[in-house]
Amino acid sequence: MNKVIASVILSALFFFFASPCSVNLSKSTVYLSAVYAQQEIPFDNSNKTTVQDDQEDQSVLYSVMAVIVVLWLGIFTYMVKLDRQVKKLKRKL
Amino acid sequence: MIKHIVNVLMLLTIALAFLWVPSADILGHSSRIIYFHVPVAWVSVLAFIVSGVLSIIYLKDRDGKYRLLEERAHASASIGLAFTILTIISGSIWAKISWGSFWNWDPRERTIVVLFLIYIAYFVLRSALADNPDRRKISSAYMIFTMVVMPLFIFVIPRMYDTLHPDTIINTQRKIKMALEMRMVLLLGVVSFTLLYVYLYKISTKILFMKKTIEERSDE
Amino acid sequence: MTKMKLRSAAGSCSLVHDIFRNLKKDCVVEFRSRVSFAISMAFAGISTIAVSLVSGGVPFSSLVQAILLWLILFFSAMNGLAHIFTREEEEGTSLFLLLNSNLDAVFLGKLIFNIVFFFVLQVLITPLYLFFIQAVPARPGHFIAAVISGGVAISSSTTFLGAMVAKAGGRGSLFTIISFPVLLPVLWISIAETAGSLQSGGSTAVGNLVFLLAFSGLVVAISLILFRAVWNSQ
Repeated sequence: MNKVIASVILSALFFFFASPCSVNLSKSTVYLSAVYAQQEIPFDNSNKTTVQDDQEDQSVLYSVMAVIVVLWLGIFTYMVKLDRQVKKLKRKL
Repeated sequence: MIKHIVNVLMLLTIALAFLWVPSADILGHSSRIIYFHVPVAWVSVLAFIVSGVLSIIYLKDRDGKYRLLEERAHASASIGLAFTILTIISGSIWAKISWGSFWNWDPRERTIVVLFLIYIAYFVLRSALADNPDRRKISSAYMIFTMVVMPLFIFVIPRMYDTLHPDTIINTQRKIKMALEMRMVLLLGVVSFTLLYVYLYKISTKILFMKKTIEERSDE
Repeated sequence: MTKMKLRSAAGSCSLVHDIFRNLKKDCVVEFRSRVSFAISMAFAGISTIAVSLVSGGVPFSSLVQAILLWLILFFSAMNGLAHIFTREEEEGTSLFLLLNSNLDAVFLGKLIFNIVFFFVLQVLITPLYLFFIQAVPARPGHFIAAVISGGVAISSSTTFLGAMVAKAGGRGSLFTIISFPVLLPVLWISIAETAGSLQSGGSTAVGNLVFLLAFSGLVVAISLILFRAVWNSQ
């Protein structure tokens, strides 16, 4: 069961990190990193994005989440299959 | 131990891919798929190579020094097949987002289909040889044969034709056209998924040895 | 030193002698029954005529012409190229072959036979196809080189795979399944080169042809090493 729990926790954490608010979070993180490293700020914060741009960004992020969830589901399914085999063999042993 | 390292590295990859790395030019946020799609594709090739190497060791090991080598090669191939299917699925969805259609028969898409078919052919051959005493030798020979020709398909042919995929790390200009942060997270993703493969392989090997122990006990 | 040189010279002479002896035996046996050759030719002829009949003389693009040509050649080969080893298993002569000949000579003899067999098929099928489809290559030299290099790549890959299928029980569909993934990129490149030579203004680069020949060389080298493991049964 440990492997299954680990996969569930991974997926749950993934959903937490990949929420739409990460769009602004990532920009501010990069901004702060640039200030810390005393480098040129890569984003021009004076250009405000439109509401439509933000909506497009969010829909793309949902698509990215869908791809990665599919990947995790595939790996999760394989791990469950292996886990079942191990349990069945442990019972026989 | 590996399980915990995989958990930590995967969490780190997810966090960095979404919170730290800037999105790429033109592709935008859809470029974040690269930190998962490319490592999964890498593992599908790695599993194949490991399977081939184990098959070579099996054919050379006349004294039977190593146990269950051919079965371990089969286990690695099973993991490789699963990751190849995931590569195809994730690649198709990303293709729909970036290029507007799920499948374009791009050179890289063709070669991953070839790898998928090689895996399928290996499993079909192995099951067709179920009662054959030479099963292990023949399936190992096939795996080695395809492992030798596979680099031509995966690494040479896609570079011979125009492709929709971005320029690879190994290219004719000898330049890595990727920002430093992207390179770092991609490398982290590759390491995480490689360790995940090692973990899955270890479990599969454990299952093999358990089956062998049960068989030996039932023979006694 | 001289004795060693003489021994190695004699060894290589005997290898060449064994290769030609096996090749002659295969040619005589195949010519006696002509089953696989007849099946391959019949399949190729029927497919070509069917395509021409159904199309009703409507001209195809050079890419479609190249695809159809290679489909016909490929499936004709699938019918015939595995036979050289499956015949040995069916007639029970594989053990005799193992005891009588050097394994390298067995493999190289069969490889040369397959290359010649497929070459003969191509020589007979390709002009027939061009005649029925009314295709004229814009660059005949490049066309011939593309067809021959593709043929060499296909026959060199299928020789070893045929040996495996023979040991596996010789089921025809198994041969197609295991050879298709290996031959798919070869087909892809051969079709691209053939299409380029059929149309005027296509690329004259020979890089892909060199790739096909390099692929053949690699496959023959690895097959020679692995053949011992496959043919030496327990």
